[in-house]
Amino acid sequence: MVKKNKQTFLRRFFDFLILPILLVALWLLVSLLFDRDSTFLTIIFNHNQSDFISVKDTKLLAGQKVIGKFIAKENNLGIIAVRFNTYKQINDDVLIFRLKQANAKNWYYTAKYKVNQFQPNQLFTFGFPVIADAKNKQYVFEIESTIGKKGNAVSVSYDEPVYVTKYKFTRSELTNNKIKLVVFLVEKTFTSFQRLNFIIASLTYIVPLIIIYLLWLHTHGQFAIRNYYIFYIFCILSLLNIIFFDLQLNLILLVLLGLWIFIIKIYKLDHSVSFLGMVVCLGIIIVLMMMNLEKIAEGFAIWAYLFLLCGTLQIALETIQPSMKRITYTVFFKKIWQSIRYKARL
Amino acid sequence: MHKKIKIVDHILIPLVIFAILFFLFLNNKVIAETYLNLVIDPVQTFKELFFGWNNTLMLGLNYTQNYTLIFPFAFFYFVLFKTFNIYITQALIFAGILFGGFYGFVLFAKREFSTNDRSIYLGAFLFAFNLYTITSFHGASILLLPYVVMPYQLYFFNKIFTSKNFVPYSIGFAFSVLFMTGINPPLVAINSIVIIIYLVNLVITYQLHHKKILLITRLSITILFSILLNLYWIVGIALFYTHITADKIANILSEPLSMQNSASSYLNVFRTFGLWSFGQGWQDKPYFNYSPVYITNPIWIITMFLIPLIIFFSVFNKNNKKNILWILFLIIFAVPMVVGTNQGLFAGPYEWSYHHLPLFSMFRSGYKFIQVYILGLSLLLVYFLINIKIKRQKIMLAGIFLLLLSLNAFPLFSRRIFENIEKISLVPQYYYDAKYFFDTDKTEHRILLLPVQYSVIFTWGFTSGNPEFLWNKGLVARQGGSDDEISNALSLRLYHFLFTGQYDQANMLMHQLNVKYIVQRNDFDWKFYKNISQPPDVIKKALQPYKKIETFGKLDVYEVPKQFVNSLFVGSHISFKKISPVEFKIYVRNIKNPKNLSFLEFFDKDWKLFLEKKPSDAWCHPLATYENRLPSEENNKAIVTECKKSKSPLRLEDVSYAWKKPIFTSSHAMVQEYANGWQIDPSVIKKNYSSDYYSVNQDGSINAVLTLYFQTQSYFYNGLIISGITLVLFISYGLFIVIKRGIFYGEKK
Repeated sequence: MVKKNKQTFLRRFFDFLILPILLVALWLLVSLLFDRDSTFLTIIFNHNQSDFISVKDTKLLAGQKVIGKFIAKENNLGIIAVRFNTYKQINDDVLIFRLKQANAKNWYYTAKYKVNQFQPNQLFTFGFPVIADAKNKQYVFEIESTIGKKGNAVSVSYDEPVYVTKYKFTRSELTNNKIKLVVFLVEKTFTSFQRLNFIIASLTYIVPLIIIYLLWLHTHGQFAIRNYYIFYIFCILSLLNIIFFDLQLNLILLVLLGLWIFIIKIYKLDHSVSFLGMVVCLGIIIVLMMMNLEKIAEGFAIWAYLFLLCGTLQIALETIQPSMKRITYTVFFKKIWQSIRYKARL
Repeated sequence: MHKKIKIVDHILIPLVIFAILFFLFLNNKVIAETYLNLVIDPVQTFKELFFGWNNTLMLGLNYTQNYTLIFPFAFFYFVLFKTFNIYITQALIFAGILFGGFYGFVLFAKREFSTNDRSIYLGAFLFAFNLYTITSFHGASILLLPYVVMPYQLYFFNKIFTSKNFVPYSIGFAFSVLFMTGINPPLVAINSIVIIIYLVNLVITYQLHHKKILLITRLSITILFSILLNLYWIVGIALFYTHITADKIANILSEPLSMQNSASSYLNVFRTFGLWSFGQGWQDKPYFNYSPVYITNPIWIITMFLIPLIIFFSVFNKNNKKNILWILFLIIFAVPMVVGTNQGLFAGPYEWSYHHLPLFSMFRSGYKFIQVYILGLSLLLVYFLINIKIKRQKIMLAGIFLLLLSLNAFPLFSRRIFENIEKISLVPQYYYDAKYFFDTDKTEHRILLLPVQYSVIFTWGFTSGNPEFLWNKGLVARQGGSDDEISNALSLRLYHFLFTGQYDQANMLMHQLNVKYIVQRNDFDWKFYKNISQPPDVIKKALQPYKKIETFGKLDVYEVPKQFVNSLFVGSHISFKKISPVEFKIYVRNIKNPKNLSFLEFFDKDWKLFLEKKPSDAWCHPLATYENRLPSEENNKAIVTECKKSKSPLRLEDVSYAWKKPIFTSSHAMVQEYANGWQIDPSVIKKNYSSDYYSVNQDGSINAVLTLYFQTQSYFYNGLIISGITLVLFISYGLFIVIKRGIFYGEKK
C-alpha cells in the first residue's frame, strides 16, 4: 500500500512538477534561440513616447524632424529601430537619420533612407557602427524628412514601443565571464518578455509542448479526457491565440486546429459542435466590433472559418459513415456541465 | 388558384422587380462606367469590336480578347442606343443585369430545393443586391455578367443530367456561356469551378457514376455545343493569351498581390467586404461614398454580421444535410480564396500557388471569389427558411431578413450607388467639332494629348475612357498601369522632352511615334492628378515652338513641323493604303537587295505579310508623300506614298488568311522600340514564288504587292461562321420544339 502510494506520489511529482519545469525550460530556450526580432546575443530595450524630446504625430513634411534621447543601458549599441506609420501606402520620401552622443558637437553617424521600404506600423532598423563603450551614456538621434509632402509622407507611430535600442554581445565576451553570462541570460529573458511580439511568438513553441504534455497525461489513464481538461485547455489556448492575434502565427493555428480535430475524435462529436463554435464566434465578433476591438474580432473570424471548415468536413464524414454514433452539442455540453457539478460537489 | 400563383410568380413579381430597378436607374439619369467607350459612342465602339486590332490607344492594341463583348453586351448597347437614348439604354442594361441574377437564382433554387416556397425570393434578393453587385457598378458592370449567369448555368446542368430530353438544356447552357463573356478569365474560371463542384454533387446525388455513358455523352455534347456557339470569341481569347508578351503580362501583374488583397480578411469576408478600394480613397475622399457607413455605423456593423450568423443556423436543422454539403464546400473553398495571402492558414499555399502553379496567377485579386461565398450564403438562406414549418415564425424571420438585406444593399435603394464623380457626363460639343476637323485629314497619324494623365477626368465631368477616341486617330497618352509598359514609357519620355525644352529629341520621337498633331486639353482637371499633370499655362509655354492651327472650345490643336511628320509605313519607295484596321496593302518597287519595312503600330507577331499575285499599284490614289528621317541606313530620306483608303466588304480572302502561308515571318521583329519590322528580300520571293507574284524591272529589281494582315482576325471570321451556323441550327431546333410540343412541358425532376 505504502509502496503504491509512493509510486503514485512519484508519478504525480514527475507529471506535475518535474515534467512541467523541463518543458518550461525547453520553451524558454527555444523561444530565445528563435526570436525573430533579434539574435540570441542581442538584447533589446524598449523606449516609450517620453524618450522623444521632439516628436510629431502627424506626417513628417519636408524639413520637419523628430528627435529622440536615451541613455544606453548596455555597451555595444548598434541599432535603433523606430516605428513608423506609412498610412497603408507606399511613400516616396527620403529620411535622414543622425546619431551622436548628447554632448558631442558632431554627428557620429548620418545616413539617408528611402521610406518606400517601411512596413506599416513596424519598427524600421537604423543601423550604425557599433559603439563599444556606450553604457550609461546619453545619446541623441534625429530623423528628418527631405521631400515629404501632404499625402506622401510617413509619421512616427505612437504604438509602444515607439522605438527600441539594440546591444550586441560577443560569444567570447560571455563564455569567458560566467557571471556576465548569467546576468545576460536574466536580462535577456526579462527584456524579451517586455516585447509583445516575443510573447506571442513564444506561444508558438509552448503549444506543441502543451500537446505533448497532454498526450503524456492521456497515456496515464485518460485523466485529461475524463475531466474535459483537454477541451478547457483548447478553449484557453484559442482565446490566448485570438487575444494576442498575430497574422504571422500560422503554425500555432495549425496546431490548435489539430487539437480541435483531436477533441472531435476522442469525444466523437458531431458537426453541430463545430457549427456552434462558428456561430458563437460570429456572435462574439458583433460584440467586439461594437466595442471597436477589430483586431481581436479578426482572430474570432479566423476561428469562425476553421469551425466552419471542420463542421463541413464532419458532415461529409457523417454522410459516408451514417451508422457511427456521434455526440451532438447538447449532449456534449450537458456532460461538461455534469462534470463541473460533480467536481463542485466534491 | 394554381394558375393565379403561376401568374404571380412568373409574371407579376419579376415584372415589378424589373420595373423598380429600371426606374431606379433611370431616375438617377446616370451614365456610369461600363466598359471601353460604350457609353460615349455605343455605335462606333460596337463596330470597332469586330476588329482584332485597335489603333487608337497604346500605340496600337491587340483587341482580340474583346470579341467576346460583341454579344451580348455591345450588341444590346448598340440596339438599345439606336432605339432609345443613352439613359434608357443604361437603365435597361443595369436593371437587366440585376434582374437577370435575381430571376436566375429563383429558377435554380426552385429546382435545387424542389419547392415553390416564396422564401426563395429572399435568397434571390441577397444574391442580386449585395455589396459585390453594388460595388461592381463602379468598376465595370460587365464583370457582373458571369456572376448573374451562374445560377442559370447550374439550373441547366441540373436539367441536363436529370431530364429525359437534355438537348434543349445543353443548348441553354451554351447560350449561358455566350452571356458569361470571356472578358475576364478569372471569372470564367470561377464559374467553371462552381459548375464542377455542383457536377460532383449531381453525380453523387443521382448516382451518375453508375450511368457513365449518360454522364459522358451529355457532358461531351454540352461542352461541344458551348464551344461551337462561342467559338468566335474563344478563338480570340485563346490567341490573345497564348500570344501575349512577357512585357504585357508583367504590366498586368505589376500591382503586387499584397495590394490586391490588402483589405481581405476573414472578418471582412463574413460581411462580404474585401475589395481593396472599399475602405480607401483619393485626396481624403473615399472611393465609395457609402463605404464609411458600412465600416463605422453600428447598425450596419451588426446587420452585416447578423446575416451570416442567422443563416449558418440553418446547419443546425435536423433535415438531411447531404443536400447542402456542396453549398458548404463552395463556401469553405471560396472564403480563403477571397482572403488570399493576407492571413490565416491558407495564405502560404495561396502565395505558393500564385508563384508556382500555372494559370493560378490569374487569381491576383481573390475578391472575385466573394461571388461564390454570396451564392452559397443565398442558397443556405433559402434552405434555412424553407425548413421552418411554423408559418408565423417563417413570416417573422422573412420580415427580419428583408430588413437586414435592404440595409445591406442600401446604396442601391437610396441611390447612393453612383457618386457625382462617377456619373459620366456627355462629351462637350467641341470634341465633335474637333472630330470634324480631324476627319478632313485622311492620313494615318497619331495625336499627342496634353496634359499628362493617368486616367481621364475633366472639369466638365468624368468619362470611362478617353473621349478623344471619337477623333478616330491613334492617341499618344500615358494610360493607367505601369510606367515601364512600352507605350507609357515612350509617352512619358516624349512629355519629358517637351517639358524640359529638348525639342530636337521631342520632334524625333514624335516622328518615330507617327505624331502629327498635339492637342492641349484646357478642360482637363489637372489638379486631380497634380503630381503628374500640368496647368494650361505651363503647357502653353512648353508648346511655344509649335504652331497652333485651331482652337475648338477648350481644345488647342498644334501641328508638328512638316519635316518631322512620318508615315505609318517606313520603307524605301513604297506605297501603302489602309483597307481596315487589320489589313493594309503595300506596293514595294525597285527592290534589288534586302530592304527594311517598318509598320508603326505596336509589335504583335500576328501581323503577317502575304504576297499577292499580279503586282500593280493601280489601286493607289496618292494622298500624301513623306520623307523618312529615321536614322536607319537605306531607309534614310526614303520616299513613302500614302494612298487613299478603300473599304471592302468581307471577302472569302479574309477567311483564307487563317491557313495561307505568310512571307518574311522569320525576319519579323520589334523595331523603333515598339513597332513591327520586316526585311523584304527579293531573292526569297524569286526563289519561292512563281513570276505571277512579282514583276521584273529593266535593272533586274522587282516590284511586288504585299498584304499586311492581322491573322487572328481571319481565325475570328472562321469562328464566326461556325458560331453563326450553330446559332441557326439551335434556333431552328428551338422553333421545332416550341411548335411541336412546348419546351418546358412534360418534364419532372
